[in-house]
Amino acid sequence: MVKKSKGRQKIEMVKMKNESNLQVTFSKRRSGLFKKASELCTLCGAEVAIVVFSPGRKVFSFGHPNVDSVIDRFINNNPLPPHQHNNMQLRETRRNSIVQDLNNHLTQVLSQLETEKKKYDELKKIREKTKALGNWWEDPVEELALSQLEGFKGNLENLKKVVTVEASRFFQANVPNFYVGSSSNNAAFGIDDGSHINPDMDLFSQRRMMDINAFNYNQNQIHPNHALPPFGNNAYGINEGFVPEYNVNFRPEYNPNQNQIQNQNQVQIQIQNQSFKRENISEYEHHHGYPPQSRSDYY
Amino acid sequence: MKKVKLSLIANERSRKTSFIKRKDGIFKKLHELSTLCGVQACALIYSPFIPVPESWPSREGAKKVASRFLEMPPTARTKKMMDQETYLMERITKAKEQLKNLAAENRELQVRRFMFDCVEGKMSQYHYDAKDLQDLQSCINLYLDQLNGRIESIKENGESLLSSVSPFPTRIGVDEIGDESFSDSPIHATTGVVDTLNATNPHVLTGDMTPFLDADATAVTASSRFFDHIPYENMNMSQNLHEPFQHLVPTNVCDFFQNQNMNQVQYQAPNNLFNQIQREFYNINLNLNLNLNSNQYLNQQQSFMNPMVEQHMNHVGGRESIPFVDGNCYNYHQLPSNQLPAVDHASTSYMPSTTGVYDPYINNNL
Repeated sequence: MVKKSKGRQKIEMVKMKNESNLQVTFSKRRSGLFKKASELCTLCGAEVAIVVFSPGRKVFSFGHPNVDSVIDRFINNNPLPPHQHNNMQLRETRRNSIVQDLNNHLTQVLSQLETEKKKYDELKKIREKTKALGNWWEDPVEELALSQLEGFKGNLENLKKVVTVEASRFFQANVPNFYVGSSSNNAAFGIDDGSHINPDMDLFSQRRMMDINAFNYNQNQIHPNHALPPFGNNAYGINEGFVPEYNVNFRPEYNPNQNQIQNQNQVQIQIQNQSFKRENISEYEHHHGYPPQSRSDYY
Repeated sequence: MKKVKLSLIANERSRKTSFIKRKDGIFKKLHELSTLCGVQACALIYSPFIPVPESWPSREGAKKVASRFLEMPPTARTKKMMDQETYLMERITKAKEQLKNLAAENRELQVRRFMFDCVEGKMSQYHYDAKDLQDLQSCINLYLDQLNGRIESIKENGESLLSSVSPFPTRIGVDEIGDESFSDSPIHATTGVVDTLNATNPHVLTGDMTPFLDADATAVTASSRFFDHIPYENMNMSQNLHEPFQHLVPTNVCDFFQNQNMNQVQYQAPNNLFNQIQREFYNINLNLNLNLNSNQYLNQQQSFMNPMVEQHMNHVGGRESIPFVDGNCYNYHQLPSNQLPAVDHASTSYMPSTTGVYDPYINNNL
């Protein structure tokens, strides 16, 4: 029966004349034959040996568990399996386990392959749909006219710029966050482990040393207190203790006239010192350039 | 087609039936192979059910082929020999290679589909990541190269420039190829392209992305000091919480209690350090407005500077390990008795007598 199409056809069961086709046919059919033999061994637990001599006089063979053992058994007319002691049984069990694992792995890979093929078919179907809609710019480049090519090229270049911006956004979204977090953590905990070389952090450490010395200074005030009479110290000291803080808020009302002439020069020097230190203070370094004597306002 | 699980069939009857059918199938395939290619072949099959082996083409024929096989040199015999393990491994390798190639091809088709949809203004419908954008960039570059190559070849060959062109559509589904007025008008074609750009830009260049770009610009260009500035703003807020109390307290006694509370708050948390620094900065500004009549205050302030500096010189080594902020500021006033003599000596040597007026103030803080 002659078929109309040139698809799969039945072939005549005689030796092929075309040498090239014969080689291809041998290779494909030999593979299929060995596949079926492997399945038979797996499903039915049979022992198999297949020997095929190729047109080029090479020999191809497949066997389970082994070609030589099956052929030896056949040649020697031994109908029963050879007597198996414990060692051979263990070897047989191990081989079966390995074969089972390989079969599972093969099944898994083949199923993934099937999934990819379905995805390929789906993408092809989408392309057919868009072709029906008349999207000429999706045709192969060789089928487009000059004006079409230049028009689509312009659109594509604009899209390229947009995508470049979008990609840089994805990239930068990771780096700045880490940097900000790191800086904040250092600032929050006041940690200076020496590995992070930061000029501002060094200044921060120096500032901390100054604070420590301030506390040391306070400790020195304890001892002289014991040398003074309690009553006199309390009566006189309470008033004096509030002088600095009081003047910070209400300085214009304070007017000790007795020291005016004696300390007028010191006033000028103090003002100049304040101005000099003020010039060193910048927007981002406000906490590094403050004068030390300001701390006396607290005590 | 039903997939057969590749493992031993549990049911013995089914297994036997399957064996018989498959055995016959293998013999048929062997017959076809030997006939079509004119080659010699044989098969030997031992079944767990039948003690006599099945052989093809026949017992004598199989024995003859087997003998020929055994007469070959061992190297030639084992070169193409395989058992089930090696056969399965070979099949797995081939399948993996095939899978990898097909996956790569599918990826390319997907990215190309993504590119065409972006050109049509559908970028917002996709959920993409950095890898997808990277692949999209490569696809666009490759396609642009193809377009440029094609344009150059057309110009060299001097092909016709009069072919009909439909404008680039601004919306999906609009079929304008049949519209003659659009096809023949270059102005309309240009307008179509511009409209496409306008349609594309709102989805990408405006909205969510622009503010993020501004933030990125700030983060990238700012120096390390920018982040030091952030705590400063926090200090302002903290400082403002304390200011009203100072202005609302007119008497000395209340002022004393206010200072005590502030000291406790400042020394209990690391963040409050900046509050303290900010306060001192505030005091500096006040000092700049000094009144000439405040002579005694300035005199006392100057006296404090000398002992403080000298204390720094004498004790910097020994005090390095003292923790700066550990909760209670009063701990620094409770030294062990065995350390007092050294402190006493320093105090006696460097402290002017005029500083005695401040002792009760500190004593009250204890």
